[in-house]
Amino acid sequence: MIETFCLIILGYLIAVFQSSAGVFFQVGLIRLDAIPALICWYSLRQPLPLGMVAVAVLGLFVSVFSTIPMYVFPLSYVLGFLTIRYIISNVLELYPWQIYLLVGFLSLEIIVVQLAGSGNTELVWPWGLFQSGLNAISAPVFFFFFNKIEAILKKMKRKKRDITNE
Amino acid sequence: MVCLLLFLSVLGVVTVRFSGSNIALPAVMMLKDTGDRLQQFLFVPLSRIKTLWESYCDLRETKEENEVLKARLAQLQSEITSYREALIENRRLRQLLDIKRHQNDKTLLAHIVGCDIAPWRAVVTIDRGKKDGLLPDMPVLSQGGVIGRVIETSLSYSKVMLITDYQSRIAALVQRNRARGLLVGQGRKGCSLEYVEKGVDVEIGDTIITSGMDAVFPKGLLLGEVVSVKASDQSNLFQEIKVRPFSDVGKAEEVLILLSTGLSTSDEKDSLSR
Repeated sequence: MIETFCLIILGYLIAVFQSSAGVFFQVGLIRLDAIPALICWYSLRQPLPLGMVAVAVLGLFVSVFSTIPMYVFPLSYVLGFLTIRYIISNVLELYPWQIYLLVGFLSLEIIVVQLAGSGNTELVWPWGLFQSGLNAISAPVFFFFFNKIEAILKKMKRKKRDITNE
Repeated sequence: MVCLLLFLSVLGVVTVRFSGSNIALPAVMMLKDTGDRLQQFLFVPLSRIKTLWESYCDLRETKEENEVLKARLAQLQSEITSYREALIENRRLRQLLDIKRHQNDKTLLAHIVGCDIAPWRAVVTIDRGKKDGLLPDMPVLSQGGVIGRVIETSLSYSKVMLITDYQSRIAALVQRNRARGLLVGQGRKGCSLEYVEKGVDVEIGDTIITSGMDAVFPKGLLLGEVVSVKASDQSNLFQEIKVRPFSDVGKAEEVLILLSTGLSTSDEKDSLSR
């Protein structure tokens, strides 16, 4: 449940930040994007029914900050989530570098769906690919932060439970 | 004890006797010399210590003064920055005011507060919404001319599609020879004027204005300047014309919204939407 809480709240905050300060981190048509890393991080932790719903809800929240048709974000995120779940169901163990590569792959999938949904598929090359590469490269930093936040929340929850038990 | 008293009394008598004639006895001279030497011996290091102490005190005061001055400098620098910012804002607003004076329609000033989360969309968020009377398709101007149009409105905010967005289409014409075309957004590359036939005379530097044919923008608003003209290959019927927008799309901070669309009355608009 903490992961889902992290996903929705963090995802929303990231969307707010990216839509207000995104231009400052933009080069050409690519910019620093933490949401694909967040979805990948979440997909590795949360199984299907709840995970899919949470990712779709995040998509709805994020679509508020864009003029792309509203269904595109939930659709792209859910597809990304399902892909990650499928991959990890066929793999025994993922090394960190493979996870970051997965972020790149997930980003490409999300970008292709979003570009197709907004009618700009011609931008997949080169911008879509560059964006995916940037997302994969920046994923370790974002994963570090997500893990930290999750650890803090878990610690808080444990403390609260201990107090209740006492 | 007696010897000491004797020595002192003799010294006293001798000093009194010879004090008037300025003749000092060797003993007195020696005594004085010794005192002076001692004085000199102590004076130099003591004066040095004094100077050192004074320097230390000065340094401490200077350090404190320096800190105060640094704080003051930082404060003044921030004030200068804010004044400079106000000056630049003033210049921008004056330019917008000039545009406002030339417009017959009502206008409204808005600030850009955000951008689209998708980096390929040239869409910005402004701090005016339905409660300020904004409606979709209202033209948005900046210092240079048309910058975009309102595409979505909420209660207090609206989204403006900039003319460089890939989805943007504006009915345009070349001011010099009235040749019609469609100004299409090309993202970072600016815009292109499309559907201008090969025979039509378009030159670099020609001004492009709105034609008013799209029922969104009033006729005659400045759009951009032709930067390149290329007669494309034989299979293509039209010229490839690149246009640089007059408005600085990437750097605009304030915009002016025309509170009317290309259609003059709301009845006309209603009839069109029906």
